Amino acid sequence: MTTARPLPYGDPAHLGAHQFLVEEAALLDAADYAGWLELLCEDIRYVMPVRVTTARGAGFDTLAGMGHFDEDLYALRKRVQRLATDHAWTEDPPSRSSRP
Amino acid sequence: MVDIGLFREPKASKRKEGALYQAGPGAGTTYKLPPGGDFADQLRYVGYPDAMIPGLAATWSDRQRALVADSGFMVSAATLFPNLSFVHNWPQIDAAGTVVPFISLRQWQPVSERETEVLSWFAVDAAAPEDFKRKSYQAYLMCFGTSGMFEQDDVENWVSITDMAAGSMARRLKLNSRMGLTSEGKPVKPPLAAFAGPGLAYQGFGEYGQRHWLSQWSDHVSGGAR
Repeated sequence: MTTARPLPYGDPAHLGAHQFLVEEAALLDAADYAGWLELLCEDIRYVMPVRVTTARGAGFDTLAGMGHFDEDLYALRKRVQRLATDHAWTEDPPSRSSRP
Repeated sequence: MVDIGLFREPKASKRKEGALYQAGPGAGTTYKLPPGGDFADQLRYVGYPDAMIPGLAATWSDRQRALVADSGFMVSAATLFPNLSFVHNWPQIDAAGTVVPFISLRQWQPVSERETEVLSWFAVDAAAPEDFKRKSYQAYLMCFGTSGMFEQDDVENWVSITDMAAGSMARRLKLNSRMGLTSEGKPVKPPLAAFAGPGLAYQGFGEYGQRHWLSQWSDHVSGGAR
């Protein structure tokens, strides 16, 4: 943590991050995964943790060292290539992207 | 997945050249390894680090080592009747082509006559180097499990097979599960003579394993097996 308070909404870094998320969302909605890959940095780690329900005081609410996926740029590229093959059956009909 | 280069083998022929074996209540598939390698070379070929090879050599039986070193086959997928399966595969986990093997155990747990829950575990040798454990888990997660590049499309097949099996066509028609058999019901090729593994093994595409499982299932449901 470099700062205790969040950036002001008008801060250029905040605006830049906001714009990134909006542009990323537009690419995903358009299923432009090749365009989406171009947004990513070489050392990206793209992970969805496994949430678990634990008692207060347990000290954790995700599984350590385990994810639904845990990908680097190579694996993300392979996943995008997979979508372009004839056997990505589970993506036809395609998944919807959504943002809570 | 051969299409996107997740596996080093450019053609499905490595699967076709593999032996399909059936032994006891189990049946499984193997891949043909490159010719000429000894036990250590073949384990290296599928991505086991040198640090693990002495341990594998010491714990595998003579026949298990001979299956790899002499017969030239590496075990891949296998199922034990009634509902336990294994996966052993070795994808490329980076752009440099680093091959890393992983093992998965899976249990096919019946929920009802129309629903099966699949439990999938990742397994790794407790004595393996920490770096290997991490990479092997990465290989498993990339290919198998709920988000795995193989498994998400496999599940689509299993779901539609289950749906179709409840339909009127499936009730009217007989299942054709004869791949690898002649019209007289004999294997198109005799079993492999030099197969170090147990049971019978056949080379070439075929549904030997499926028939082996189905015939055990048939014996059980008809009360024939004890």
